[in-house]
Amino acid sequence: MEGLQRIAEGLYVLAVRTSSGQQRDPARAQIRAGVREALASLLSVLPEQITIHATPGSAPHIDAAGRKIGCSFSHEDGLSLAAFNLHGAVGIDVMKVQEIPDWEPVARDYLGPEACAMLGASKPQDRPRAFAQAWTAHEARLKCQGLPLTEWSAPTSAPQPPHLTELAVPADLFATLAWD
Amino acid sequence: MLLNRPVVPYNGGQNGKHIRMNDQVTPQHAHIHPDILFGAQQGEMLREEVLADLLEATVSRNPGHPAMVAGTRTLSYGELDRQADLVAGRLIAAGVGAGQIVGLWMARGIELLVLQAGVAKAGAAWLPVDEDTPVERLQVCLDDARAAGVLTNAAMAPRLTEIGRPVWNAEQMLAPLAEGETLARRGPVPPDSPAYVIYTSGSTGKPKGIVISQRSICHFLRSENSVLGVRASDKVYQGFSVAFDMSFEEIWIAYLVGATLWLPPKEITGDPESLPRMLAENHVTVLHAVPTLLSLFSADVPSLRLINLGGEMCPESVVERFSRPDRQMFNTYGPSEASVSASLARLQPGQPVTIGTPLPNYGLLVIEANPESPAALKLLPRGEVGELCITGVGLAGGYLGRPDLTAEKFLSNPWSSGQHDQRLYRTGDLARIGEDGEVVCLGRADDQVKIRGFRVELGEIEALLAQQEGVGTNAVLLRKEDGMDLLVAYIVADSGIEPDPSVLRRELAAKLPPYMVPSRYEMLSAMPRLTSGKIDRKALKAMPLSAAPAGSAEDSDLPETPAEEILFGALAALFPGQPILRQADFFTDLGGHSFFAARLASALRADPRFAHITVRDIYQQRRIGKIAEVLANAPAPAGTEAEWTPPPAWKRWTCGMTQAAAMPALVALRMAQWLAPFFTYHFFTGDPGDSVPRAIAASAGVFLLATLAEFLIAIGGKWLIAGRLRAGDYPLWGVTYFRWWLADRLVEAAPAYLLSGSSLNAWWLRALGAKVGKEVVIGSMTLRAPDLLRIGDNVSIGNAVNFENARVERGRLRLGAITLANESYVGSYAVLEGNTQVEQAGHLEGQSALRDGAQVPAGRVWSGSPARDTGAFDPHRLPPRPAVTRARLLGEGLFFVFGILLIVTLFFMPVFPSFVLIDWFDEAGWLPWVQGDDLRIQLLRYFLLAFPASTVLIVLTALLSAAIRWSVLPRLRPGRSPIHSNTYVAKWLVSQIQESSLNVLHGIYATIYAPFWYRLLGAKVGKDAEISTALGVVPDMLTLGDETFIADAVMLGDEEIDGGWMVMEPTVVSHRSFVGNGAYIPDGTVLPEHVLIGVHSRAPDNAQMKNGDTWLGSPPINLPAREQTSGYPEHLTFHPSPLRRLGRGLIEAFRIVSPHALVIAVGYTLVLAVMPIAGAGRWGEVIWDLTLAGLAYGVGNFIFVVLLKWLLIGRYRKQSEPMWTPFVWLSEGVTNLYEGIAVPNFMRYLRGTPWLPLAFNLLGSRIGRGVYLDTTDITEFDCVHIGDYSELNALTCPQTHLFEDRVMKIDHVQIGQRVYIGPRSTVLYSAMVGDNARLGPLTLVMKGEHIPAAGNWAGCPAAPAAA
Repeated sequence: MEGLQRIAEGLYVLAVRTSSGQQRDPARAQIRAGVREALASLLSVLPEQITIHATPGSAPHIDAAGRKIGCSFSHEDGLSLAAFNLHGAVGIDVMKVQEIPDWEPVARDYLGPEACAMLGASKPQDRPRAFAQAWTAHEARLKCQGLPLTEWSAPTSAPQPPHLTELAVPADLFATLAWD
Repeated sequence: MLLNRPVVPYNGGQNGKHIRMNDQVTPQHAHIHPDILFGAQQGEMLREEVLADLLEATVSRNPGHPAMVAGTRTLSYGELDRQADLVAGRLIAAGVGAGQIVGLWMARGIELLVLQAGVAKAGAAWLPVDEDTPVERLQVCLDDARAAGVLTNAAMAPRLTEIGRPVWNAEQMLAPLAEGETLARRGPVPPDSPAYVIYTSGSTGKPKGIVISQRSICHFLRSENSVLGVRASDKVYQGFSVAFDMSFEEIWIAYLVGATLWLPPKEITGDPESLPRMLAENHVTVLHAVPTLLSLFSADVPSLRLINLGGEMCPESVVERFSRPDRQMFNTYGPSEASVSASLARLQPGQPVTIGTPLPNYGLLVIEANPESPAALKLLPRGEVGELCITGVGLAGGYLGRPDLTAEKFLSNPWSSGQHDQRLYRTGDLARIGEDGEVVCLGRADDQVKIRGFRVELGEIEALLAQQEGVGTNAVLLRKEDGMDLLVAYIVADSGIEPDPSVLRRELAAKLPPYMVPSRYEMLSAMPRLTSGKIDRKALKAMPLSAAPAGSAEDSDLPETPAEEILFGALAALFPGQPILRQADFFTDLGGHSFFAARLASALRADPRFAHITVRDIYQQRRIGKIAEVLANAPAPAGTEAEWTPPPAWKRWTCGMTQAAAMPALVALRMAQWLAPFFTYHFFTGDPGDSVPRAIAASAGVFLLATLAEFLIAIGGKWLIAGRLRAGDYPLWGVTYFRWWLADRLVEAAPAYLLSGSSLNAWWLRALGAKVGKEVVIGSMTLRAPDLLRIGDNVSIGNAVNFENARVERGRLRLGAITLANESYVGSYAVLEGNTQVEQAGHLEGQSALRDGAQVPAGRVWSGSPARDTGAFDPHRLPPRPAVTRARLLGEGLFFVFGILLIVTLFFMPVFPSFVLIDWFDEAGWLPWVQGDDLRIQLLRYFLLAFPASTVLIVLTALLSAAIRWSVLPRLRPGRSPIHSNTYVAKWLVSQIQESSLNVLHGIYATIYAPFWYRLLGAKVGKDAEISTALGVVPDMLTLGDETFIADAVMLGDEEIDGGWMVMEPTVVSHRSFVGNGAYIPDGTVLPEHVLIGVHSRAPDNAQMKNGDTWLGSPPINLPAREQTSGYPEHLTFHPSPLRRLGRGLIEAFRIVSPHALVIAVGYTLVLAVMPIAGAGRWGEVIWDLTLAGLAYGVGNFIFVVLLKWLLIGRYRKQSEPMWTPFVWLSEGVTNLYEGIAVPNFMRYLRGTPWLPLAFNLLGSRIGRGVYLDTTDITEFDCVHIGDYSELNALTCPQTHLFEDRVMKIDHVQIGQRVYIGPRSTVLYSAMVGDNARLGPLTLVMKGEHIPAAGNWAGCPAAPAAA
């Protein structure tokens, strides 16, 4: 997948292939430029009228000629994803599907006992994918809610984003989108 | 004073395309040489002044205006002046005066700026060094500048103990004026005296100091701002390090005009994500920045009206992106040698980026690069590329103590036109003056480079490298890799032995600032050279890099503290092959993101010393060194267990001996209930003329009296021994502990199960000291401190509820109150610790755990382990509580009393046919080969004779139950009925029959006979169903499908009672579904096929389940797939051969019958032995003998099981055996005998004594010293390991086997030392619990799980508990 994809009314995902390497800054700049361009043409405004407000720990948003648009970004080696939702918040997360030796403490610490037990019960060969699915879903939800990643605690009464979907990405990656 | 004067347009060239500001070309210059550019000549900017004058002028003009803002802190100009005066006064007092140089080395912040202003106010000069510069380099600079001392803060001062000059702390310098202390003021300061010294990298390996005079810098500030136009109303971002001279544009231009500086929070400096947002939020209007930072901004900052870029080449894209009609953007250029900046360009989108034209009173010219001698300087015409030179008043005097270097770079100007341009400075930059009069800069002419805004002389690094051992020829280059500037060192080894890059990196890092340390070290066999002999840098640049992009792990810093060791290790695992440097940023340098941060925090927490670290810490600290500091500076770790001291051994054994002394009485009491009727029967039989019916009547009467006596002894004993216990902590093995323990044993001995579900239960509890309100319905419960239970009116309590309000925790007995307010509800199998409360109409659902201190608020429903709010209780879910008359209550009371008596008597009856049978066999002279007066022979004889008799007893009991069930009782139908109804009473009677028959039929559980028994009671049970022990079963409502498996202690579809109503619904377990140990299947559950409900789990709502699901935990979690046991054929799991069925049937028949045969044989032998004494009327002796015999019987049962276990099983080890194999039958047989005779007759009295661990060790367990065990739930004894001083509370279970998929899997359970395990917690096999860990109530540690040492975990399944 590459380019702009419409997921639902007013909800878009932009995928940009990036060169693999350490630095995320160029990828960051690249995807932001892409979002600006895409939004500019969708909303028929100048790219200069679009600013992306992003701070770690709170949900980023786009100011497009005074209109507030939910957005979210995620980068993994070789692929950068951006999502924007004209009608509300959105969260996106992508990660590499890979063997994670320490999946168990990580799952328990952040995803909670339910997910941990679920992963523990999955077949070892299925686990990397199951983990990536659980992790990206968790992160996408958090991003959509504008919450930082923290250690798992009892579920709060914070409303969960009602929509969650897996995105079609190359097989070695897993990406999840959550939106209001 | 000229401030904020309107700037005048200036055209640097005669025919400039752009009309420029400050366009006042002095004609004389224009015609002197057309190839030299001059800024406007503005004599009024050249004044006799010093920095302090500028600041003080602003202070006196507007003392109340804010000078700086940092977070919530604001410092006005007046306050800045006052605080700077403190610093200045104290510096002067310390002997610092005009012309002297003071080092400035501390973290960013208001204090740093105040100290700097203080130095200025003292008339001295500062020598700024970045916070993260190594001390060694600081030392070189201080020595070189002959600094008078160094200013720092208390935190950093300890590193300067060997600096060899005074060290002044900010804390001391800024301390309020002491009494009597007067502040000295500076004397006259000549404008030619130094204002600051900036050190830049020097090509000879030594940094070079550039001294800028007060006059030069003051002039610069006025000059540049005459173009920039920063004004008092501006808010200026202060982002540069004071060691970088662009900080003057921020700080001192702001001071000059009286603007406000905005200091960012430390963690966002240079963070392109949050910085723009913060700038906008704080309405910052002026930004000075390097273009790289701006280009990374994630968003525009609308509040900025002025952006000034400098320090490096500015890409056009930045101009395009950030230009706004209402915003001015500038590009400034200048080396430190020319006082910050010498030229300036106004940036316009669509126009090429240049460095513009000279600032007022500066000049620019381009000469031929690399002239042979200074005398041969050749001025180049416009359009030609050469070395850029600067003239003007801003030029520094030269390099400190380096006349040679000064002479090389500062030349006398052959084209001088006046007193201010007599010298020129060669910048080393290649440039061209365009036809339009704008200067275009083309990069470095020599080997000086810029990295991260810092000017770096590569020669300095090369010179230092060459000093390292093993390094021969070397060259350092700046390369761009993946868009990242990177210093690469190319090295030819000196002696054939390649130097170690990590050593080189460490050596350089100790002497150079981080940005100057090459990140890559390329080893070459020979250095490529030009024909001239010079190193061919182009060839080097073209060479592909050999090692990993960001260096390699060998380049890592060496950990120096335990925290760093753990941290570096964890990082090395997460980022294999990458160098781990203290300076590195986790996110930007190492490429970490949230998932890596999460993994890092988890990995660090695995070490109990660092259990406090959270992912948030990693986000906040970012730098590896800082994370290590947070790790090391652990406060008393929260969330982990503190160390504690177990009670001393003497105390334990004193208590143990006292407990041992009480035990014979306890055991005898239990035996009396059996032996007394035995004795009575035989007392009235055997003589001619004795009537068997009369003997039976007398014996039954005695049995009833004995039963009643047990209640009375429990009540009396409890009050006598324990009195009324109060909530609180008492030492384990102390006096109160002993009193509680003994009372608990006595109460436990009473057959309270008889009262279950009846209104008599409330009276029993009241008699024990509990407060129980009206209309309370209690199924069944364990209650550990009855005095501390308060139940309001109309409360409903389900079945097998555990009120564990007495626990032993960390060497203390903790007694706590449990309060259940009016209308509250506690579901079946819930666990409540002490100090808990369920408020008015609060509901604690089944299989939930309410831990110490928790309370269910009024009208709320809590569920799960640990219990959490799941919503409000709907009071309209049930119709109003049905009214009941007093007469009905009384009638029910009588019914319960008589019902209990009847059932007790009825189920005692089948014992008599077996007596009669034995007597008959005996008299008929059976077993003639086992005859004799020896007690042992008699025992064997009666054991053998009792075998058929006991079989009859069991069959009769089963048939009796069935007869009552099918003749007297109506079939129960699903639906809702009031608790005061005949349906309830009938249901109660069915349960009583089941419960009472269990006394005799206990052995049937977990055998192939169990399904027949349940069918007899009315349940529908499919073929090949396995039922271990099911609790709360309402047989009419239960359907078990074919090949289902119900493991031990499953609460299976018990009735639901709440609000005065009882609801019964059919409960169905479908084909091949499996219900794990201790699980809770609520009434009305329909488990689809092939479903697995895990250990201690609660079945979910029917709608949630589908075929093949696995559910685990409370609340239940749907697991996607489960481990399938493969490799065992069906005939060993689900479809055994008839022969295997027969084999298992025989073994199980033996194990069902033998406990009864044993007790009858012992009874017979005993009774016959004491009969003559009784005949002689020596009743005291009779009682004594029976007591001793009872004790011997208890101990004998235990020894019997010990011997049987070792004989039949040997040592349990890790193994898997399918169900239909002799090993499993024998193992289950031993377990069943252990539970059937050893526990009830002996082991249960050892609960809570130091003797129980010893008893288990005899059975093969490995239990350490001082272990507190309040449980006998151990089966594969050899597989249980418990470390010293651990505490296992009631109903806990180290569960060493599971029967999932009909394969018995056995493995070890390892529990460390000093572990606390809360009530009803289970540790499954292959799990390990680390030392000093804590497990909360109803906690399930999963297979293979590892609870870390000192961890605090709780829940089903276990998870780290909130502190």
